[in-house]
Amino acid sequence: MTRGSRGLMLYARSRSIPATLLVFLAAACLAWTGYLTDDPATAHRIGLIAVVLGVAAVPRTLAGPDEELERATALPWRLVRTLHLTLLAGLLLSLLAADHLITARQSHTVPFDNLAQAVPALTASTALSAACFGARTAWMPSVGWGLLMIAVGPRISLGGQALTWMVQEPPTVTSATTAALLTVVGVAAYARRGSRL
Amino acid sequence: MFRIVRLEAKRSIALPLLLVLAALTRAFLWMDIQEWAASWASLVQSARAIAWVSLPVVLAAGIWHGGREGRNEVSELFAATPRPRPVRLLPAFVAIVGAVVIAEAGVVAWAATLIARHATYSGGQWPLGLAVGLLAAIAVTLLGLGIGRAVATPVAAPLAAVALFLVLAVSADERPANRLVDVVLPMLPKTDDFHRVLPSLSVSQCVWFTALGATGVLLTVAGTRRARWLALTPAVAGIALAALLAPSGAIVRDPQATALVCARENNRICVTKVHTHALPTLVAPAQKVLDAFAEVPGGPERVEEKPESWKLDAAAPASHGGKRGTVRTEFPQLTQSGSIRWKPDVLLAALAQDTMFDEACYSEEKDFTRATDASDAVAALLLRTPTDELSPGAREAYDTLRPLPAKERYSRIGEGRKAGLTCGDPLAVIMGRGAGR
Repeated sequence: MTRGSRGLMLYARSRSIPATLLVFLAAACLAWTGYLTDDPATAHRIGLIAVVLGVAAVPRTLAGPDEELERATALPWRLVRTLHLTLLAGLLLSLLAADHLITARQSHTVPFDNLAQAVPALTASTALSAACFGARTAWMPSVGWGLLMIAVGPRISLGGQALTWMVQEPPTVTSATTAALLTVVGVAAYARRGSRL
Repeated sequence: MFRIVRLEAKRSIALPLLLVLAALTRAFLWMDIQEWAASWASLVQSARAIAWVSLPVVLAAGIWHGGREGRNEVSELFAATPRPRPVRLLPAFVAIVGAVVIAEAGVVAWAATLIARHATYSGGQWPLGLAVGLLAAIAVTLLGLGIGRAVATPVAAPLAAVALFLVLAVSADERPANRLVDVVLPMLPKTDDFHRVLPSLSVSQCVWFTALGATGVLLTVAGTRRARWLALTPAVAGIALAALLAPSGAIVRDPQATALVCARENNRICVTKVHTHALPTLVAPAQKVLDAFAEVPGGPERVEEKPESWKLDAAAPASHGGKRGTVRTEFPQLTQSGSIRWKPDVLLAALAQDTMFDEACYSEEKDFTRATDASDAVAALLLRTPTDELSPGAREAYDTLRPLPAKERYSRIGEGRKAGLTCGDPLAVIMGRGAGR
């Protein structure tokens, strides 16, 4: 094993990446079960819950066991953190989108543009929470907001569209802007500051 | 002891949980206030229905609270305290359960004070229904504490919250009619003002949630893996016992709620007992309809609220003119729930429609539109409702009826009404083309 791959392996283990991947797989299985139900409303709800389930495992990976010690090492942390978030969100998105390809259905339980907006934005909002409150409690705002959006459903008012950005179908200008802002701010804040110590 | 509980409340998740849970319960109850604002049965239904949103929060908070020693790696240190484990953990129980109870009970008490002003029938079972909801929240909190102590990983709380949300949300959407499901789920089966939940279901749910809470407590104080497995015994025994106690059909018709109560000043206008608060608002439009149809041959003599529910009762067959002397009306909001806000002109329009035809006759949209056109034309003529928004069909019928001599006009309206109540074509009769469909 080369030094680089060993370092990568240790990084993945210290961030509980294997356990997180298992949760991603569980989310993909859950999204797949959405295709088994006949009721489109239930299938849609399951598809959205699968996104939140996948993202719920992300906060654990946003900080190592000893952040202060890690940060003393000579690594390009901003790049590492950006890659970390991008890869995790990309992987979750690919797994959820793969369900659609495997089942080869005409319609997706959650339309792909909504999925492509929900996964990165919710992951980035988790990263933003980690930068603001620490990785341990980062799940509270993002998972709470995600589930609340699913429970409340889409709202029509401008503020409502921004607050329920994840469930607006098709995405409106307001919801897409909110998701894009969350993604950019979340990734930037986490890449710059990392998890709050 | 009090000092430790106060410290627990200040330094734990208890206070934020109290605020979040109270805000969430209040917001979701407020969203469908029209459903329950004047009916105890509807309040119980709505308060229990919120469980699919509130219980995941409660479970996550319990797990987070229970797992703090493990997360902070002080389990061994605290285990060295020379006090029995249950005694040491008592303040943690009190703080977190207290937060849940204060939040849930506080919001429900607020809702109860709103209802007490308007509700006219309670049935006497609402305290039990609300108490079971509170017991479910306590049981899930205790279970959360137990899971948190058994599985100290930080992802346990969010994953458990999402999993419980998934189960409850899917059950709320597609609920199988099953006695075990009725017992296990904190949300009540579908019901309305005209039906009541059998007390035996509430009792069996009490058994189940008490057993679940006991499992939570045992999991929390368990020190070994064997003790954790044994802690599951009360939950298993509880579900078995509750399933045995539960009735197979938990929702039954409530004859007391559906008994008719007539207005003091006019005993020809009656509503169900559970909707007595609606009577003063109904009297004026109902009287107006009775007066307007007084000259019509075979016209109505009474107005009664239909004590059947489209949600739960089997669809009543078309009356075929069985009781032409009575207008049997159903106000969607009024009948299905305890709404207290409606407009007299909406009531008048609904009454005029129910006077002219039996809705059960017209399942096809085309036929229903024709019957509605006939009804609108007659309402515009007899009740002097605005003619600006009449559809072309209704306008044509209105223009046909209006120039007729009074006797011929009333006779044709009477014939049209007869056709509408016997599943004929009231519009054709009014237009003078016979009653065939």
